[in-house]
Amino acid sequence: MNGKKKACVKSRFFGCGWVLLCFWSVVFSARAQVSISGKVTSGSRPVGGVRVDLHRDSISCLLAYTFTDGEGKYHIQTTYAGKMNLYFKALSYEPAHKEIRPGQANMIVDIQLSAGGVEHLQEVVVHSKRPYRLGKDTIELNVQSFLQGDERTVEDLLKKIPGLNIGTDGSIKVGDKEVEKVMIEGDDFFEKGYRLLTQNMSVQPLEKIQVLQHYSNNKHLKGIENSDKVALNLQLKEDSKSQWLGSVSVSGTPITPAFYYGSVNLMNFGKRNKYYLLGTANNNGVDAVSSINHLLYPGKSDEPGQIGLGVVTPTIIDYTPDLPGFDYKRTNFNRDRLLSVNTILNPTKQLKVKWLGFVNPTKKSFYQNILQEYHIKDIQFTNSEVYEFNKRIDNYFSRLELQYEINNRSTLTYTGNLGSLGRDDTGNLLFNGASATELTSTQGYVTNHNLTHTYKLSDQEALVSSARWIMQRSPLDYSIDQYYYEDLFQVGGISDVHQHVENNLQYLGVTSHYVRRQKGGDFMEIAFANEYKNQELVTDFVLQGDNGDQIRPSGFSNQVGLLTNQSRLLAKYTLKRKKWEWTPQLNAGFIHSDLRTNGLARDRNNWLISSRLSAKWEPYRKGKLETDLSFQQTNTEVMDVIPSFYNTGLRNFAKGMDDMATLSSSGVILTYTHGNMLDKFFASLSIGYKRLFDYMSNQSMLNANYNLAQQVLLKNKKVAFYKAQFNYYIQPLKGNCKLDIGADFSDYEAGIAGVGNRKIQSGSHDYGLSFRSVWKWKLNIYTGTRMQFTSFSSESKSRLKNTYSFLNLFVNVADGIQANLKNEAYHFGDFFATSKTYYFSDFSLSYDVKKIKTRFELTAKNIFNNRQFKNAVITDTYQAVTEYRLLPRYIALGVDYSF
Amino acid sequence: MKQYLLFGLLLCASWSVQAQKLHAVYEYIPSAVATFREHVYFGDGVKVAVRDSVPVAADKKEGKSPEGEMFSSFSLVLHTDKNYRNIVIQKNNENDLLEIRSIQGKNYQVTDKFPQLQWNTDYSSTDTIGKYICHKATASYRGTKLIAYYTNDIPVPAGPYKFGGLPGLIVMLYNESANPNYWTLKEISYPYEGSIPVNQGYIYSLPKLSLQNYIKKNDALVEEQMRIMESKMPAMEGVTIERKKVRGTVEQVYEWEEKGLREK
Repeated sequence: MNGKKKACVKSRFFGCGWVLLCFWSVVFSARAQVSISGKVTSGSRPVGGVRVDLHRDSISCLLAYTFTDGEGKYHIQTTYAGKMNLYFKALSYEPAHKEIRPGQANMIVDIQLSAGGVEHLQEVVVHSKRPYRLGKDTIELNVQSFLQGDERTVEDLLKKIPGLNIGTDGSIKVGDKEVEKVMIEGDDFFEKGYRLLTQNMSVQPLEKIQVLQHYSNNKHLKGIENSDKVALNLQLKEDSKSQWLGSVSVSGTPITPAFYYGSVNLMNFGKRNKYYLLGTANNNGVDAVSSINHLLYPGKSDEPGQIGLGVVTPTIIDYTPDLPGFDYKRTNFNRDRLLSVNTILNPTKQLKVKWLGFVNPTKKSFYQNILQEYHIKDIQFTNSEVYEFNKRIDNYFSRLELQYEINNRSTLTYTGNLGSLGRDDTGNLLFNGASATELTSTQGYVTNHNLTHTYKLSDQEALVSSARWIMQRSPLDYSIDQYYYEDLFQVGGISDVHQHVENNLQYLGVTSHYVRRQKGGDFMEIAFANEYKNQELVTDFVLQGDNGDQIRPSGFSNQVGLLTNQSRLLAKYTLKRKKWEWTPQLNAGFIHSDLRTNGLARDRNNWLISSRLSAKWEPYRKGKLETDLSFQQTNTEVMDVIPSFYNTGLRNFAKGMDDMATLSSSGVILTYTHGNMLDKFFASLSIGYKRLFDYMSNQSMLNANYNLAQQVLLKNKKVAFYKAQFNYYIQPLKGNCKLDIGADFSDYEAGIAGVGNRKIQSGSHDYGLSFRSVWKWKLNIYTGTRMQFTSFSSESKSRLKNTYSFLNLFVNVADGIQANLKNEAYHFGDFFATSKTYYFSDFSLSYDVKKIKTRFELTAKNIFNNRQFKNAVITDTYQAVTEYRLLPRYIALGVDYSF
Repeated sequence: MKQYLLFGLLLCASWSVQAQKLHAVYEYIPSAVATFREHVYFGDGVKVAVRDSVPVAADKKEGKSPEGEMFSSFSLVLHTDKNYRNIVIQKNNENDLLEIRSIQGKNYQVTDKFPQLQWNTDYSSTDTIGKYICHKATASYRGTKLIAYYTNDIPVPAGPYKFGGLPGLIVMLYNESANPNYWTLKEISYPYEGSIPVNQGYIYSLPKLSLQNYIKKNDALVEEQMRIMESKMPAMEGVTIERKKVRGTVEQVYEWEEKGLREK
């Protein structure tokens, strides 16, 4: 309401009381009120429902209005004392008007109306204008309307907007759907990590907030692509000054062992230029690069016009410990440092420039002891390895993105990456009691350039064309100062062993992708692609004699070149109706391969056909059945065709099958879902079967000191699985009970020298039961247990049973104070008599003081101070127990401050 | 549609009308996927607003059928069951207004102690909608800000749903929100010779509830559903979900809740 005037509308109507009264009072003048009353009649009959409005001299300045009651009476007041006009208007009557001269405080004005005026209305009002909604899917909100004066951050403001829900973790939902990203002036740095922005950015420079529904990352695909994404866009004031804002987060242990974590976020957003800087360092196991993963790999693979995704050089030696289901941070003795600079510039309206750079000098150490046992007929031995790894990683990476709007129908986007990836690993090991040092070092680089042109042909169709060039070099030098392979090479007097690897890749791919959304929601895609790939792999295995001689054993070095050129066509059509949906898909290609191995050249031409039929059906409101039938053909990759052995670390050697092949497979998956997350009962069941007509298996030669694995092409591998999940919300317990059951089976062959081909049946069964409470109390729990049975059977059967249980407690101590206690218990198989249950407990307490934009935190990790952790695995050839060294118990105090 | 049959029986005027009535048809757009028709009858001291139970077919030009929108693998729709007709009756001689609302398929006669709208008409800007020159007015209403455009050409203090009290008929109205509710005037006829398709006898036979009790009952149901959903979601360390009320309606915060909010 206006500060000077105060409108007061008193509503009552004609008849007995619904009369509307409105008056303005001029705050700065203390004049007496002018009161006008009277009666409106027509002939001798009173007329109700007549609008009586009082204006200053001109008709535009409304002072007050009311409607006459059932007896035709009215009463109107104003503080204005000058010359006024009183108007009478009602449907079916001629309007009337009376001039009011100043001077009198109380006046009686009766009036006679004559029939006429608007006597008949029959109309269709045509207007498509919705001033509040920019387009069909964009809602624009004026920030001023929602400001109440106590907001500091964008999040504070968003909390005040009806229809937006902000969770305590900073997540933003429109209705019940989480937003995809929060952009500033259409520019996005953070994607799903948007809370870094909303919780730190000041509300000051904001002018408008746009809610974008059915959002598409490629703006020309909006309305064409199937999208149910929501995004927010923050618009800044024209004169908004760029200011630096951000947050600092520090935590550390006050006593030894010394663990620390620190990070600084700095950002500056102007209307045109935006900057974001991140610096972080820690030694508490956190992988710093994971915090910028979304900056490194933006975009989604399921969008049209993508090509060359996932094309990289193969990995030859990698010792990163693999502990599925276990928190990697517990075993990661590290010193991570990361500095990342990001900027978005808009030099002109048509051009957008994004640049990202980071350096990541990191040291990681881990300690593991492995006991590996082989029991296959006559092959009986046990190996023990005691490892201490120190990795030094030096990565430098830079990405440039240029986006140019050619016109309102087309955009050209260029993305270029340049990375230098350096790694030096030192492994000190004790292999069956003999000590050795392994050195692995690589200094590779990668460059990846992509150009995409999007052209919107009409509101329903678009053409996305892309070209990508990738060049990667990943050389590797491996050496070990012990000679374990005397039995293998029958050569003595060797002091150490070296392997040099040249691992190069060159890729060029082009694609043109046409997408069309039909009127009924049907969806069509046609794409053509051509991909050229040239891979080169050179491995040079050298035994260094005591006398300085170099011996290159035959069959242990490679010189391989694989060049492929593939042209393919993709056609996909989605037929969508109310209760069902069909999507047939065909991918047909012709591939030319040229293989050069140790000077021998071979070429091959073949077709690759893949087809798929997916269907969805809703037999009833809560039920959904989905099925997927597929036939797939792929060609062997470079690692499958390597003719000679190469070393993959310590005692392991591998080689391909020295030939090219096409692998065919077909499969079916059926999924049935009943209900959804909002139902008390929600269940899903899926079963699948896959037959690999051709597959790659291994022919191994096992020895305590070496393991030679050669790939062989076999036929008919069968894989089957089922997975079921039942959720039930138990009313009296106020919580959800979840039962998970699943199993995988496979039936295949693998060979071992001296044993022959073995028919192997492997199986894995999972059972899980969990409960999550949603109590209204301060306390909530999440607890459960999981059992996994793994088995391999061939000439004998091996089994492993692992169990995992957890109990997590969440306590809302008071407003802003939260405590969490996470307890875990792991129990592994009972072979080697190592069966033991490991208990872990972590605690955290946080206090969020919003007023000073600070959050205090106390964390205690590994409360039971477990220093070792043993994990058991079985495979089709061995069973093993690996012991990892763990980060000790520590208690850290931390503080987060936003500015 | 069952309810249509039920109300089909009610297609008779239940109170005699002396003065000439005005009939206005609004399009009510609560979200991007649904549009409903709302009929407003005004005359002789009574305003009756009747909202259809089935949505209007989507605009053909937009190339999307409503079925296409509903058939989304990820959409979760709160269990409101069927949409029943929403009826609002405002009588001149009573401060309370009467509303017919339903919970889980059961209709209730809900009494709303409707707060008087304090319209601010102090806007000089005008906008032409159809052939009408419209004036802007705003009012605070139950936790949201209403923005109305009314025309002086039709001097009737009526509008859609529970809204009215402006110098002329409301041509367009919406609330400022990330999920706004819109009403736009589509058709108008005067004098309206037909009858109001509402059976007063049926309405007064329905179980009575105050708006506060109705909202309490409805919120408890929604809250229960949100809890069921939360209990099925993956638990994140240190995260508790704020169960904010998700009211898709134009009414966000009621008078009895405002007090609680202020205390917070």
